[in-house]
Amino acid sequence: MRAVIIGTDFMKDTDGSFKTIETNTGIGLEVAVEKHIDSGSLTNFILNNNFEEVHFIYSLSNLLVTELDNPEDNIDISQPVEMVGVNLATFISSSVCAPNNIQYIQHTVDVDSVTIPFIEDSDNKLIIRVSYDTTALIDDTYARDNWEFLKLMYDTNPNSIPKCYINDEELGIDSIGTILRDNGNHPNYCIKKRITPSDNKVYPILYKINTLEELEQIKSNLEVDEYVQEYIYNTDELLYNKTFHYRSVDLVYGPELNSLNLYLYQKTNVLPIVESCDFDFNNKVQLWDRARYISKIINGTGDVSVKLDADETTKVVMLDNTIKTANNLNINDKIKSISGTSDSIEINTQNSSSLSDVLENYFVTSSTLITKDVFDYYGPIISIELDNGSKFSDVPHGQIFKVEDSYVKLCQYERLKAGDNLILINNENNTMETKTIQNIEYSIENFEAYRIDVEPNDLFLSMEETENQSIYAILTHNYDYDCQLITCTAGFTPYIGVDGYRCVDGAYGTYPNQQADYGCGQAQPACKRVNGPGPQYSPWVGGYPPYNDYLSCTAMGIYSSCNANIVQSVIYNNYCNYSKPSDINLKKNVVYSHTNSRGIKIYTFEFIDLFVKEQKEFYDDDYSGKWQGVLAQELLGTNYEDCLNLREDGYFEVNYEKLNMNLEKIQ
Amino acid sequence: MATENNKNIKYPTRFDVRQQSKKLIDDTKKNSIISIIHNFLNAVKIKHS
Repeated sequence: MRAVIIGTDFMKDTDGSFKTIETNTGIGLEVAVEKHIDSGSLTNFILNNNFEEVHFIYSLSNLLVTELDNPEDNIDISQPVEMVGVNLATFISSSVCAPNNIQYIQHTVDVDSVTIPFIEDSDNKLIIRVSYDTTALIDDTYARDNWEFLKLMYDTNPNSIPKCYINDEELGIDSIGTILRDNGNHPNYCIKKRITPSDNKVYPILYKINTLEELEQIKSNLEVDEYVQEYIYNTDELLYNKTFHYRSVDLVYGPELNSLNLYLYQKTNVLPIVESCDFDFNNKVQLWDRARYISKIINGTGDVSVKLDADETTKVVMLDNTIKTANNLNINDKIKSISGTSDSIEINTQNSSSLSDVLENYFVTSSTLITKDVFDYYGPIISIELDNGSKFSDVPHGQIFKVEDSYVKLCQYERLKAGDNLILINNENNTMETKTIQNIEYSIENFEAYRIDVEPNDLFLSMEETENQSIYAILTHNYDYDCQLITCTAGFTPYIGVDGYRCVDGAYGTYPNQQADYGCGQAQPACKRVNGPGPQYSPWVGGYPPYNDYLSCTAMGIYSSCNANIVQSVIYNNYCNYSKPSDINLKKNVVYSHTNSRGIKIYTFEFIDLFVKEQKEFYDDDYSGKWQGVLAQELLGTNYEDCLNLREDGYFEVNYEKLNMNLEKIQ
Repeated sequence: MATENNKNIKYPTRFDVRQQSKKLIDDTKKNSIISIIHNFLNAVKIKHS
């Protein structure tokens, strides 16, 4: 028996009725299934039909469990967002099939695949398809084409969809009527596309229409593939002060199109509701308020490989202490930078990056702007205010330095929290000072932004954005770096958790709960510099690794003495930068190993000879032998895209720390 | 970061920029929604049979 999983979205209207918005196939099964599913009914369904085999067809993007934290969970926001939970495939395999001696077979397709492999049907097989199939009726007609879906629903029950105006001979609907919907200060109508675009920046266009004349004007100005729909806003339907929609996930099976509801959940929009949002002169909801009313997550540049360093108003301190906004920066401009007293080329306080050592050893120097690429950014901005009144802001992945437990650590804006102490430079006398974050705020913005690279020192100074004060600059690290600060909470015993990833690896920031989370040994703060030329380390032969070997690493960047055991990834080839080369084009003999609990496919492979040779020659890194990890390209188009970084040489690398995994040498 | 065309509206907490999900446990709501899905599938079946 063939079956497909569909996800259908609903809003509850003010009259109590549910209105369906759209149905989807190829959906992301984003919730932790075990929290939601009625496992009994699914198990009974499979047992009662005497299935002996369950086939599950999916792509990586279907199975990512990205259920987001509820406020009640009291998550520490300075820590990486965990994306954990059992996905539907794992659940069916381990909780439904295995206990009942039913064979489970999974079939993966590419993320952008629009067809599926042929699997011969028979009475004893349940073939569940999650991925999109362009040859399937529901997919190609009713999930892809909003007009087909809405028309079918309207003809079945006009009250089952929001009021619409579709100007089409065959699929036309005009149920808008002559009484304007009253949503108070909120948008009451929207223009949508017949085929929903992947870009959420423009559509749906949200309006607050005040007169019938305005409505008529909008109807008459529609493009051929646009339609008007009332926007359902219901003050009784707020979750965490956010609007939300209902999603029903159903298994549709057999020629009769019977269905089994797997689970139903409510999913909020990104931003909370405010009393009155902003509209432009045409009564369109302004860009920065759209995320209150639409569910798709804002997507920055739209290209996850792009990591930004500055926006058009970022004030960069030049070598001569003048200020240039980033939009006026030119290639070969000399900018002010910071370095340390050792022979390394960035802050490098020899054996320590304790705050005291950094303060004693840093000096002001210069760097040169090597590259500057321009991007359009639409997404979240994080703004911080310090205890001296200084204000700074950046994109979530912007990197600055904070002081924690007397150590200086690189930190992304998105992991900052009130009370964190940041490294600033007083631009009048070049003193380095620490200031404390008093307040953090977020906004959604659209601006021109830049990816810049400054060399040889990757550090530059961004002046505060405070209007009437311009003394302090924040020490900023450009994103295209070739060094990284790692803080490990060195759990001592190598441990491979049940989910397959190691508990002990170079961790960005700290993992105070690492022991509890991953069953590690005693956690101890330790900090080191990684990813650079250095001596080969003694192999881990069991027990504790040798103390302090990596201290002789002469790599660039801030590092510190490590008074605990080093992490295993250091043992492996003197390389524990959490961004690792994982481009498929750098690999050979790639063999699929397994799919982990988060739906990420794991492979074994070798790096190509040229890469191994270059890494050895230039960095003294050993990439020979057999490795286990992910393929960077497979993360494209998934919720893990943000773990990718595009290197200057055009190859992708993967931030394994953010992925909560390790690139492991296995032979 | 705010530009002339870009009013810089601030939100006080990290959670405000995350989407959240919650299991629907209200049987009445569930039944209403599932009923609409049944109607949809039934209509597809009738139209294409």
